[in-house]
Amino acid sequence: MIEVKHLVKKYGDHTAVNDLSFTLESGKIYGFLGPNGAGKSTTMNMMTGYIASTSGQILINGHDILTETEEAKKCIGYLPEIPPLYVDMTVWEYLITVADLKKVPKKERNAQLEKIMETVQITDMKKRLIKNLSKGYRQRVGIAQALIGYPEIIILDEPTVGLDPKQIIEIRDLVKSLGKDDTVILSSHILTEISAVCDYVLIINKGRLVAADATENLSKMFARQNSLELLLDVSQEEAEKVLDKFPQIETVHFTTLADQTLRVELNVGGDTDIRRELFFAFADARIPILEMKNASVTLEDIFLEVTGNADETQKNREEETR
Amino acid sequence: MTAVYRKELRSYLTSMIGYVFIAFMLAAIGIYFAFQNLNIGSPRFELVLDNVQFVFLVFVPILTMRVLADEKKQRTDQLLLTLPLSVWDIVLGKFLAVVTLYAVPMVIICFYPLLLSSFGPVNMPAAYFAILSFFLLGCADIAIGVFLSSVTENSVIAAVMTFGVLLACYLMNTIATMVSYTATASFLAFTVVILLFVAIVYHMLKNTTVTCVAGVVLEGIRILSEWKTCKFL
Repeated sequence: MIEVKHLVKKYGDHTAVNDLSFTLESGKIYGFLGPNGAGKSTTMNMMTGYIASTSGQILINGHDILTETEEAKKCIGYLPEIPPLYVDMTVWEYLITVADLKKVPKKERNAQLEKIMETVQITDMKKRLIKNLSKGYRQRVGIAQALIGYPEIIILDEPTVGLDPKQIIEIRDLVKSLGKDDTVILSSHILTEISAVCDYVLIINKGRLVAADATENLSKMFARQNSLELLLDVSQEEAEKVLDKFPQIETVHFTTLADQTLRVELNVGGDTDIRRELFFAFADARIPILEMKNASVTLEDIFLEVTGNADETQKNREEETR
Repeated sequence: MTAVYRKELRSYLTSMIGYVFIAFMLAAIGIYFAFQNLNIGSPRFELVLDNVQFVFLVFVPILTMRVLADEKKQRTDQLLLTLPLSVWDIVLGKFLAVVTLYAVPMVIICFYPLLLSSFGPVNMPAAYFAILSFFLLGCADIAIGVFLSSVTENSVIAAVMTFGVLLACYLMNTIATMVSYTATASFLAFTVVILLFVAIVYHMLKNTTVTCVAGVVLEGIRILSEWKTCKFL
């Protein structure tokens, strides 16, 4: 369980994190989402005790990270943005060193390390020097390092950066399996990743928390009513003639694509389903419908909407102060 | 602390730097020992150590430049600082690892006075206390190097700064003669040194209270210590 209360981090005049408050419960996977420079890494660095906050409080399982540092840090396994590896060591030496630093008892150590290497699939690389490993393997060694000592909270800062698609899927599965017992927090600016893995999403923009909810809820909350997307082989005027017969349609947006086809995005009021009527109306007018689909709201849309709004509200605020 | 210590010592002993340091330290002392004691036939080992002090100027910067600067550069400080370790553990562990490495040639040169005593009488207390003070001087220099390695993430800059500070210490007697011996001059000279020190403290801590307290305390100690000579006050 992590409680973050009114967290602020300032670098001179620049505010990297601005009054951030949230509570993370055990046994869930949390996603930190935000554009580059939103303050994700800064927040994670403060949660793990790497840098101190300007003001505010962070409690890790009830221990304040600034005053009860060691108790709080014992609960955390952290993979920073750049995996902190001693490149002159072999994988095994490195993991032994970290286990030693984390005060893992000698009796359990070897068995535990073997198991962790198995989990992240680096057993074959055991005797290789870290400097000779590829980016993907280095990332895995970094994750292995975070898992040593089986901490209750695992914080991964952009764990899939630089990995190939197959490795990304493997890491996602790994994160999912970890999330069964422990709290996992991962950050990313890749939305599909968060929606694939996380139970709960925290969207951060310009150091502020702009949205926080369960992944499904977020999609529901932002789902637009009944939007349809059509691809027609016709000019705009003729399509308009047909669409005028439908008073239910609230907004229409046309785009002509490069191959002279027309994309129509329309919003229908209420819960009425007009797909069948649309089909026959266009068929009667001998206009071929190449494609018709319900426009679903992705996390991407939510993200853009939320971060865009944040920009606007901030601009408004700035104008007010002027 | 012991975990950091073991890690650090292992990294010295699995790379060349540890062995190179020990070898060159022994070579430097060995040359002076062979020349001053064995060749000329002097029984005073302490003079050898007095002459060989310059080795610190070369070896301490090389040995300590990477201690903390490299951790920052490779971002491994992020690992150390987020593990359940205190800053105290990390710094002391690293310092003691360098000291241990430095203690190896010191233990070996403890045999030199014994070797010398087979040729005639040797003042043993003088020789061994010289070795002890040489060891402690080295520890102090290593502490300076470790500190300066922590203020930058570039190990070359750390080495150059350490070299500069150690050179100033080494040449302090000569530098001191440049300041005139009158009370006013020494007052001014010390005030300049204190102001410089306080400026560095302020730059690092960005804390006005601590800086002012440090400045007032240092100036106070200085005035009290020279109360009788500062007649113009």
